[in-house]
Amino acid sequence: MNRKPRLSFKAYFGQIVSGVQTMFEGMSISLASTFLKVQTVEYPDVDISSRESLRQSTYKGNMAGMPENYRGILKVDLDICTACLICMKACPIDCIAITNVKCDKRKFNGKSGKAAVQTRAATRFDIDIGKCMFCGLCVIPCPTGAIAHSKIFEMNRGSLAELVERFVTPEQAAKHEARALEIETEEAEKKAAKAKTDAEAKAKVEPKGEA
Amino acid sequence: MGKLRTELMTINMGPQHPSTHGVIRFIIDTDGEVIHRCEPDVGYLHRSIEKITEHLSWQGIVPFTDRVDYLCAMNSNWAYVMAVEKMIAVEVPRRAEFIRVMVGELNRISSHMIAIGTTDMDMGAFTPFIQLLREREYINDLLEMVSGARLTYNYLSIGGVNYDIPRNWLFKVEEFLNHFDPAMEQMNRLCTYNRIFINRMANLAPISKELAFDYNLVGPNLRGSGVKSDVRRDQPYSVYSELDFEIPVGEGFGGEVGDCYDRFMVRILEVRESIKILRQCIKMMPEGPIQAKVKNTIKPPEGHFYSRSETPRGDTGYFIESSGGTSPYRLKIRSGSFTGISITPAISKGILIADLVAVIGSLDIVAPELDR
Repeated sequence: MNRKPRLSFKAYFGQIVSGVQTMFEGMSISLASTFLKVQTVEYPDVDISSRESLRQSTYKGNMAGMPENYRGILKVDLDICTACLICMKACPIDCIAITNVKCDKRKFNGKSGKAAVQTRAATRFDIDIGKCMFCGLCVIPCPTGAIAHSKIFEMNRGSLAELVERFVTPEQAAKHEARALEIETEEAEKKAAKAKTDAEAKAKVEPKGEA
Repeated sequence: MGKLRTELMTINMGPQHPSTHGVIRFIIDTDGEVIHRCEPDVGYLHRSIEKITEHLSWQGIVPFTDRVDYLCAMNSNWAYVMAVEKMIAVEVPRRAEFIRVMVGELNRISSHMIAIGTTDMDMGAFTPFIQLLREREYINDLLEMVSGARLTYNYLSIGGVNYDIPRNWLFKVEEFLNHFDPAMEQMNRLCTYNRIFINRMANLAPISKELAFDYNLVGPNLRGSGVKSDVRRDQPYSVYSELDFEIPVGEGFGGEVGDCYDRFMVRILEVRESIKILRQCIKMMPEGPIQAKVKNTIKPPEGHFYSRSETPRGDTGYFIESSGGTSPYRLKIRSGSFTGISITPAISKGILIADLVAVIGSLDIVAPELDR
């Protein structure tokens, strides 16, 4: 309560003088900043995607623009995706859903020139961007660099269902499933044929053993 | 005529109060303007992060530590990954350590800027807050350049950092420091050295050394009481033992030792020390790998592991109880805001309601870190 000590007459007025002095000092700084460049951006009118686009606009501030490695909405390049499910397992909140089927074996160069082998194709690759927290943990272990961040950060959608990004179209999924069925039947046939030849060979060998 | 019957009035400050810095409620018994009892009521921002982590992979916990203390997500990341690195005994590459120190100190500056700015704003000076937020944008840009995010970085990984720094980043940091050094001094002239502001903050709610120890205060709140305690110096982790920096303590800058103005000044002095550390790191930054080899699925040993680190809120600890599985059996987070708020009943007796705002501001309480 009574925390302020009693001041002498001189100290009392000294404090008033220094209070006014420091106040005007602060006000001079505030006044000086009136003439500074405007640092804020008229967002939808100005393209903030890079430093270059910012420079071309009317903006004169010091904003750096979006960097190259900005972590926006996830995008998936299905041409190089091997449907290995590593991203699905790495996601801490399970916002990625993938189902895969067998496909024709394919070799290509993935991230940092590493050879990648595709044996499976995705029939469903859904990312719920309503759940996604853009942590980037799915991007780091991806062996081919198929899943990556885009620079898109505007994600207004009309409904909750539209928040789920579906990367595999139903046609593609049907194609992959049909091919998988073919592969399976081929493999089953091969297996059956192999079993047959094995059995025949065994049958040939067995009489010898008896003799 | 009999004596007039009087009684104390109980009022609520918060949970939706602009000066409680988040969703905290204070139950105050007042006699006119004077506080007789002040009891903090916490838990409005409880997200049960500690429980959620029991179902996550060791790497998957890192983005959740961002949300523990969003004002210094890098330091929160750091505190957690250090505990895991201790557990699986992995050596972090030297370059990664220096990058960690740099992003950690940059984040400390930006966190202290918010602390200083909001305290100024609570005291009625709105301009410094806006000006400090403008300067903070530079740090946000710098951290966005390395991590790709502006607030919840998820930049530190177990055994290193996730991405290497861009080519001209060190140059950009130096450019920022050259700009920021005089800007911070200007900010001090704007508000910190203002006689009205000093008189408002000085001699208010002083915390003695003994009281600070009793309530287990940490970080700038403890240093404001004149105790030279800093985890970076007491238990040096990372490369802090090689760096040269001071530990600023409260010396009674405005009046008594340990008052609100001391706690406020300690933060300002700490920003200067952070700038000093950053300048050293720019010179010492080595070349080399940024990530130690860590398996995708970590299989840790059984046992318990504890790491301490100095975040802007003070000594933050992560305690891991591991049963050898792919996720922790129990993860306990010890935060500086919690002890910071628990001292408010002890120091706010007899002060005015308007002064309680200054006390909360000077203790730098961050609600999400308080409740987790």
